[in-house]
Amino acid sequence: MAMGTVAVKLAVQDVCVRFGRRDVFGSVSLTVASGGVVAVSGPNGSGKSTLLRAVCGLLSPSGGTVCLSVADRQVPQHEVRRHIGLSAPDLGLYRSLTASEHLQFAAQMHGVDGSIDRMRDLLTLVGLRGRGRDAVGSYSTGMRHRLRYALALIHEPALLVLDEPTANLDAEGATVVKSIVERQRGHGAVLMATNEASETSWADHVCVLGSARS
Amino acid sequence: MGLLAGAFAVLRKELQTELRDRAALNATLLFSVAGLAIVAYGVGPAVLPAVVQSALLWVVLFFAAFSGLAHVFTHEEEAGTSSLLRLTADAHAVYLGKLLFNLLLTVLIALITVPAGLVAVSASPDRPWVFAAVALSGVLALATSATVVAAIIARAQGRGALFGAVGLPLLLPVLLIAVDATKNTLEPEMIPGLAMREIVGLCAFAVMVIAASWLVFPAVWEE
Repeated sequence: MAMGTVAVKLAVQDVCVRFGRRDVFGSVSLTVASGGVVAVSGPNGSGKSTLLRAVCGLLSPSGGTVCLSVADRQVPQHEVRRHIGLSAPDLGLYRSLTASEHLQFAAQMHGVDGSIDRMRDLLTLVGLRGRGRDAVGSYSTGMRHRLRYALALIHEPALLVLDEPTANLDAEGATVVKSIVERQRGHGAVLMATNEASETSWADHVCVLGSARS
Repeated sequence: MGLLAGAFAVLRKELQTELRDRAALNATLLFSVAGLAIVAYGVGPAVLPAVVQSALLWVVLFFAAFSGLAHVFTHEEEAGTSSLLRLTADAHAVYLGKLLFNLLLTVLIALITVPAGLVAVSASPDRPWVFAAVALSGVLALATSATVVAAIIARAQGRGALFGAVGLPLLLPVLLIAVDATKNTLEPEMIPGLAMREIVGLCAFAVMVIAASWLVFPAVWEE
């Protein structure tokens, strides 16, 4: 599954998120460019996951701008998700569907190759080969997290966004994630939220968010 | 990816999960059977006025259908799968796919509930095809209204409070027209012109709700 290189640039400028009267975080700026890996760290409640959701367009920031450029063209808001792959522990999966059915559904929705060979390659990449026909409900927490990686990569996104990259994964799973991050470095860019020293060491830059404020 | 292809992919996903989990089907079957049993027990051998027969039919159909119809969106939120769906699917494809699923589910419920309901209330329409057309147009209006209500409720915090506030103004007109139209078809002397007018009214209501939902849904789904 060789992937070409895509020129990508994510520019987060003075972004703040407020839930009701509570500021989750205020005025965060960061840039991620092709070949780059940026980690966001900070204490619990500092808004790491919220920032990633804002980047993915799953949440509108209360202020500031999030701009994604791919191949030197600014991506309109409604197209942002086509260029982003998100893997997060709280991303729910359909318990009764198999891994292959998840991947086929995602491939159909993204309009990309959903062939059996492609599914097998992705499942092999994340260490789920041979388990594609099993219902996700029978998966362990770590296996579900591996499937989230396959789903995030199915459309070969320019920007890979990872929340707690190795959460619930064993040592072999962590190695798989590291290889995915390195592979993505050659294709586009990576933004991840983590407090693990081993994971921040993969990053070129670390953006530290402050503690939660009331 | 085309809109229709996306909508059918969502529909297929809904059918796959429903056929395996049977969460919506079980809920609707419970309400259907319980509702019909209570009506049959309460009515007994009595001959009811057409308006009461009609109202009882739609009460059973409404509760049976709505217990399943609301499920399509609330289940996504409760299982945490809505974010995955938002990341992969276009909002309009999601709406169309879920609407098609709800239409299929409601027609299936009506195929079971309506004939059994007619037996329970001891009603026999003189013109079954006109009655069937009224029931089908009522089901269409009910499914379209329930789909957008379910979407709004699922995305809102404090769902219980919103349920009545959003659902009542949208669902009550459908039920009132449907009860009135069904009453007409159960009368000994049905007025064909009135039946046609009410069928058109229910279909027009459904089209209006679909048009409004089409405009509103992306905002409801994304925020």
